[in-house]
Amino acid sequence: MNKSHIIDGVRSPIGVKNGQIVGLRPDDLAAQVVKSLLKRNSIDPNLIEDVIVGCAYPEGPQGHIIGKSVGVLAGLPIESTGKVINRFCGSSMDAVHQLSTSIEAGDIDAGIAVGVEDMFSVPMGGFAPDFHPELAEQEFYIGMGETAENLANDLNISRADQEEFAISSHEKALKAYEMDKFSNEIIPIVNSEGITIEKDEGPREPNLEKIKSLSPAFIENGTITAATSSPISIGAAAILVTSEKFAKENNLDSRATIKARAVAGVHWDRMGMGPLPATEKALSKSNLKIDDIQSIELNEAFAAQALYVIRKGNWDIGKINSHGGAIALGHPLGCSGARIMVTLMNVMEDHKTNLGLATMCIGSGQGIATIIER
Amino acid sequence: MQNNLNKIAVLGSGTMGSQIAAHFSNAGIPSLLFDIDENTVQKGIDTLTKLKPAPLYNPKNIQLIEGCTYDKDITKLNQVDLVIEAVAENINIKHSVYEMILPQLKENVILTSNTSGIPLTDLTKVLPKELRKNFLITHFFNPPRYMRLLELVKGPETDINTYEKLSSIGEDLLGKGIVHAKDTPNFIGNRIGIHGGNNAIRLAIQMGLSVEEVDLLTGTLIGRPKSGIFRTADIVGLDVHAHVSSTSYDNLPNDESRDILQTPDVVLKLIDKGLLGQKSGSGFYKKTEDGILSIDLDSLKYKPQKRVRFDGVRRAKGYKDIKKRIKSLIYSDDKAGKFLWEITSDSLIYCANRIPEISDDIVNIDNAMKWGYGWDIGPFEIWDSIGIEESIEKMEDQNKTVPEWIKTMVDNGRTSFYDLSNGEKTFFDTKSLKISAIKPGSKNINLNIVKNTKNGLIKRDWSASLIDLGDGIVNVEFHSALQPTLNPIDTSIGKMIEKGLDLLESNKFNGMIIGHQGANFCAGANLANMIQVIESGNFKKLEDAVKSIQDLLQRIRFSNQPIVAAPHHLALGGGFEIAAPAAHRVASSELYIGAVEVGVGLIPGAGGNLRMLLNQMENIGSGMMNSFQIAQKSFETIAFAKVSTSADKAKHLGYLLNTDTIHINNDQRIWKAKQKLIEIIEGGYIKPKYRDDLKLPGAGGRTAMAMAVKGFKAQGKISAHDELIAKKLAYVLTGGNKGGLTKSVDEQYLLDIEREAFVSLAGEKLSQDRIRFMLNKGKPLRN
Repeated sequence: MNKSHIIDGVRSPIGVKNGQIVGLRPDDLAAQVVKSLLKRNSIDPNLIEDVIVGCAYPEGPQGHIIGKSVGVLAGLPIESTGKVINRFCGSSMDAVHQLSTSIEAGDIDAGIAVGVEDMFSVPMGGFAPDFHPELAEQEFYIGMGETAENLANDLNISRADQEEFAISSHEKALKAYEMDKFSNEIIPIVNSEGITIEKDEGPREPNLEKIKSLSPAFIENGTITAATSSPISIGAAAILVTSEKFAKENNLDSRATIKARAVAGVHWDRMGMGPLPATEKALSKSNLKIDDIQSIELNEAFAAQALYVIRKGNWDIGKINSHGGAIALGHPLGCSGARIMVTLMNVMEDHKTNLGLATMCIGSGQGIATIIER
Repeated sequence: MQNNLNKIAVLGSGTMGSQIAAHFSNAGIPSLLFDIDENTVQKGIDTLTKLKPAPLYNPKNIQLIEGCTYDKDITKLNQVDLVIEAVAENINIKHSVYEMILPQLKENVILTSNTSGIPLTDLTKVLPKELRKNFLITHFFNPPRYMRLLELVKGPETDINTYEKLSSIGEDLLGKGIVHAKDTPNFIGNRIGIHGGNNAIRLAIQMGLSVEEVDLLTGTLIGRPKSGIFRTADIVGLDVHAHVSSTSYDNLPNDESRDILQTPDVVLKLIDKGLLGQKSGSGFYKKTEDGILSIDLDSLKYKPQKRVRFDGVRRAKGYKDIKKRIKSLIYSDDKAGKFLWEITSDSLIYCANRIPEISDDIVNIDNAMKWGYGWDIGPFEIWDSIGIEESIEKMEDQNKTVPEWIKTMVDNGRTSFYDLSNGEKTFFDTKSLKISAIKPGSKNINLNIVKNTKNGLIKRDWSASLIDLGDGIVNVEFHSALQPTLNPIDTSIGKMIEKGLDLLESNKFNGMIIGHQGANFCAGANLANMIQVIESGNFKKLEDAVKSIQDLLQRIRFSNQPIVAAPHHLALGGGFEIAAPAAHRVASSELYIGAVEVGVGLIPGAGGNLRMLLNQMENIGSGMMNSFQIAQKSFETIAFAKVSTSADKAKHLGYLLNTDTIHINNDQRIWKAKQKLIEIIEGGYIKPKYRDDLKLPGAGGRTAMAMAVKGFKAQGKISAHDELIAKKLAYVLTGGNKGGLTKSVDEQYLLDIEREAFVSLAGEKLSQDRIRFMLNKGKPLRN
């Protein structure tokens, strides 16, 4: 079996409501990120064989096989191919999985895994939801917020604890900005009005009074509010994966290798616990224990959901999301998998750690996890 | 006259200045809004999207207003055709602003001031002769979007063409009612208004009436706005009230009622205490946690309001007609009657004495009070309704001096100020002491007058009439016998629409207008009738009634001759359903339209669901929204009972078609509807095709909507009964069992499932509770 290497990964700043990125087409946004990735690694676009785009709602401007169209917009040759992966929030982490798998299988030598989502132009749920009445009976279409309320209820995770977690997410992100931790991670993008944007729009100084005053967002007397949920976002991320041979021939350094990949199913009414069995599988494949992992990126769909995973799995909160998580940075669904992998590599380089885990929950009841090594 | 205004400037971004600019933006005219610094002007602009009621028809109109400062942007003044000055009411400030802008103005620019008290001849002292020709006073009332009154005052040098141009801008472009005032302190509206207000306060104290008693007697009871004398003073601000008073008092040394013009002591005392009314939190009233307290006019201490009871008021409430009610009230011999007699008779005499001082005729005085103070009928119309001879006798018994010209009028055999005969409205002209005709504007059709012409009235029923508008056009006018301001649909209205359709079918007319000039187009179904049928348990009868109105409204849709609906103000529930099937709508800019049935536990039952879907499909043009989104938008609009805040907003919500006409001047609405109808007839009208090809999302989309509804229920935003209603609504809007991505639905099927859902909801106890609550309390019950 061939070896695959993550050569590099970058992401766009993540935009939120009323921000400056809203209005930029998601295919253009993803193409800008791909172009920057190629440019900063001085890669000849003709060498990219496949582009795999993860996207949770691949319709409208994200439709018509955005995997290929992003490649065309980014200047890849017509010989290069593209496909779209949908595993909801796990889409672009899955794209990395599939890309590395095909490299390891010897099918291709170089490709780009992309994640993109514009939750403003394509609403969560899509343009024409058409639900199966039988599945509706089984609560298969349960709202994401409600699934997180179920988890909060299971472990009695209080509103105050969730708020503390969310505030910490913002504080860590602001601190990371202050200490210039994102400069290698984020590439500037140009919005639809020609303005260059370099920073995430989500992180902000927590306003305690406001946070305390918010009404529950999903159920009456619930514990979850807008402040303890990840915001509706727009963003894109891209990761260059190649074979070892390709890396050597093109003088590319490897930033990380993939040690294990896993997905696991859970009940959809508690989808937020998905990272636990997925991580369990990945650890077991690589003969590791959770304590062996030095840096963790755990996607923060909701503070309650992240806290459930941390408490239930007895994970060390000090290792998790050092530069802030999705509550502060934003959660553009299909983009987030690749985004946290890019963040993880930067955190590991910053902390000089060797083993890292990126994991996330997935609506419909799944979890996905990747262990990387540098 | 052409209103070729490309751009205007408004000087001063305070309450009036910014809102005047806002109303020009409603009319599509861009403006430069000036103030001394950027912060001030920005604050003025920002307020426009926050104020309630909204000054803008649509928040996006704000893009037409450009904030400017005198320092930075003064040269931009050369772009504008009209400058409206609305800076502080201080002659020196106004003069210095004029001197500053003069060099920048282009030739033939018109300059106006929104002053409410400074004499025009003082204002123009610093202006060159050329500009004095193009100078006049344009006195808007607050809030400018909603108050119809625009007082115009010309000076000795004002060019008559300029004056007429402004008058036409006010009328046609801004939809205002023009009152021709003179260069006298407080012009007409405020001159009469402040006299009446101060006199009422004086008499209240003298007669020992409480604040809440006076307000009950001087509100809707006598055809004036809900807020009576004291509440109005609180809203306006006691400082403003005092300012207007002293403008009159200081500048009118020879006024025969000068003592009354003086600011009442009680107002001055409250101002001294910093109690300025609403803006300072308290005035004559004070809002507390224990409710709204009122002030004791003697001790100036706040106390809980007492329930107000007067026998005369109880009796008068039996009269729906405002003229009869006022008459009954002021001749009743209880305290309430005596008070109302005093304030009314004093005010009538005061008005009569003001001719020709402030106005050449009675018409402008009546208009000013109706349009600027929201009176249902003006002073001279009130005088007519209480009987001139009877009232003069009573006045003279009390040694009140009745003006000579009125006695002359009566001596000459004329016993009313106004008369309506043979298609002409006449008034008694005090100048010539002769009867004179009120000439309607060329763009006004007054249905009352048309009805009184020979052959004008085709048929009159108790709640609606058919009127021949000429040119082959028949008009269905609503005038509900029981609720003349709301015009709920009753059998009489249905019958007259049907009769109108018969006339079209027999080719006696070429087109029909459904519209009238009452207070509101139609506030929906007659709930009182409906609950009677429901309580009798005869649901077959209910279903038959719903079916017959559905059929009637489909007849409107498929009439071979075009029908134009002309909705204005409230058009709720059935009001929307009557307007929607017409070939075209000419709506008043002030249109508050909505399918609000959910509030009474129902869904639209007279085709409202079908209309909403068809409107959404047509408004989106080609593509962009798929069947799910069309159903979803319709669902959200109806389920949340959204009501438009303007006709522009009604288009966005889907209550109007994008191609419908919006007309800013409500008095011209029927005229405009007629013009439009003639245009449609001349263009060769083809009725719409029956739709059997409607694409609706069916069960899959409905399930998705149900999940969203469930989410609202989980959040505690809606009740279980709301959820039931929402599910039935979603069933109809997604095409019931015939909807689906590969299927088509026809109009009659939608009407059938709508009717079924409507009748089944009417059978629900909780819906019936909502209906009864609405009837009793006039607001929706959340259950």
